[in-house]
Amino acid sequence: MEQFLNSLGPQLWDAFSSSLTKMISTKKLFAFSRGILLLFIGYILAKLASKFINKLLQNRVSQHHQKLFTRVSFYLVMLLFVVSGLNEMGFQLSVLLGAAGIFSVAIGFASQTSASNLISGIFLLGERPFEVGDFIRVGATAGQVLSIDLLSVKLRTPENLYVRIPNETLIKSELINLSKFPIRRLELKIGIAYKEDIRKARSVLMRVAQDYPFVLEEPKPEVVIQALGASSVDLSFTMWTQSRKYSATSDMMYELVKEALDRENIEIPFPHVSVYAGSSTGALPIRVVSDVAASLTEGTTKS
Amino acid sequence: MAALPEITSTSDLNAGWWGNIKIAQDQTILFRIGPLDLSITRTPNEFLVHTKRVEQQQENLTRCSFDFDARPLDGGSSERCIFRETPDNITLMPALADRWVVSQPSDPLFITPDEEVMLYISSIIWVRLFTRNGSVLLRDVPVIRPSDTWYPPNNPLDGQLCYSARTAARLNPALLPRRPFRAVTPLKIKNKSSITLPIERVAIPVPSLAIYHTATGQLVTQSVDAMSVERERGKSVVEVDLGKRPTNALGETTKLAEARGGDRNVILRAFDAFFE
Repeated sequence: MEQFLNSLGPQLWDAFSSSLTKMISTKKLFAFSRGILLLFIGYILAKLASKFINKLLQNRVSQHHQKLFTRVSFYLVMLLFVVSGLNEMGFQLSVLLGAAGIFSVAIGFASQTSASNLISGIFLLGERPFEVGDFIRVGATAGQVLSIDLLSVKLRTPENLYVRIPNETLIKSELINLSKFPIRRLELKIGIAYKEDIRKARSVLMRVAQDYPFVLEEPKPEVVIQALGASSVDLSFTMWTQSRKYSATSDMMYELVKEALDRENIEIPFPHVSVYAGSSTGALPIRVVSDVAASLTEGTTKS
Repeated sequence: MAALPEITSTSDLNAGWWGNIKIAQDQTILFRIGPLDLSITRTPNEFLVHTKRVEQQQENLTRCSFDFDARPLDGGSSERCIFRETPDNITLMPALADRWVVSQPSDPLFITPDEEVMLYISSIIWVRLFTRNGSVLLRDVPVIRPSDTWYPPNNPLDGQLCYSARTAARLNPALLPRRPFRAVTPLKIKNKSSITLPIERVAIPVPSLAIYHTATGQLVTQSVDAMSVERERGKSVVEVDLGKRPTNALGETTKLAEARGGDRNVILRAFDAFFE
């Protein structure tokens, strides 16, 4: 038994090494090396091609298209060399493609969302509702577009947060591009007291707009009465400014309007309620108490 | 272009406030023009440039003076321009606006068919401060910051950002008030169409105009010629061209500075948008 086991080891080793030798013949080793070399060269050439395309398209197309064409050129060149390399190594691509066909059915079911995002990305590419650098709002999220990728768009919010929005969401949702056009209309809501002269208030507001250089002369600012509200006459003061100066103009205009209205003694009322007992009844009795502590003490002593 | 004059404490500024100025170490020179105060302080390694605007009251609008022994301004805005060794000369030059200027006549104008008119429209000047014999720009600031406006006003999608101005649109250059910080553009308008041409506003391609001065120190620009031509019945387009020089009605003129630079194609494309 011992002798049998001792002779089994070398026999197994002999069988294994002769099979390995048959597999790894010198010719096949060279072919494998050639395949690896092709992959390596393909990677370098793909990098060079993508850099060339990137430089060629600089300042000719948008940043988004530039990135996309750069990536497509890289993957195309890489794919060519991968196919050649695998072919050189001896892999039968028809077999691989056949196997891939079976896998693709499974993968298709699993990657429905990714495929939808990919196709949505292509539609976004054609429609171009925004570019890299634009400030957009999607639902409750607003931010600057950092990149437009195959599956998603990346935003940077004003709080410096990184937001990833799938392309499918962008295609399905309402999207607002806040920086598409160079000018934008700004609306200030201002309430003045009922006792104030609306014409005078209108004139004061228009002068504030006229004096502030970043409010456009044209299209002209407008003051419109929106409502006779519960506590005030509600005015809508609209004006136009450059999109990139929108926040600063809004902030400054509120300040200037407040100062101007204060200067002209035009009241901006707090919300308030007037209490009446009814038109047919008398006024509600009211006692003015100047010293609360004294009156409380007086009440305690009397009782 | 003529050589720039040397500005000293005895210079007659009525002939013009622009020119070369010698500035010593630790000296501050204060320049007042209209409502703008501009002070320049020279130290061994930097120029300190302060700008400040005063209220636009009538008496401030005619100011034009130098103080060669001033103190740096308080308030306003300031900039520091660093050098290894500051040069001993500065240059002050006028320049026109860096955008188109949309001028609205105080009252609407109407030019009847087959009529031609020369209007004189003024715009605000920018003050440019240079050193190293005009080769290094230190500051470029408007005397009065004009309001922004959009042209054409009824098309917020496609147009351009301009400056806004009001103009008396005078017909007689002799009636032009003398302001050291305004340049006058002669605008010739010909109405070759069969309809009366209403003019509520005019967009002038100011960055494409060179700046000149008259013998009396008035700043002027080359002229702009606009012709309204009827293409279809009731519809006309405007052809705009820039003259080579200011009109002769302004007298003898000398070129002071070239245009800031404007796209000539932009001017030619402004056919339909020149008048509103």
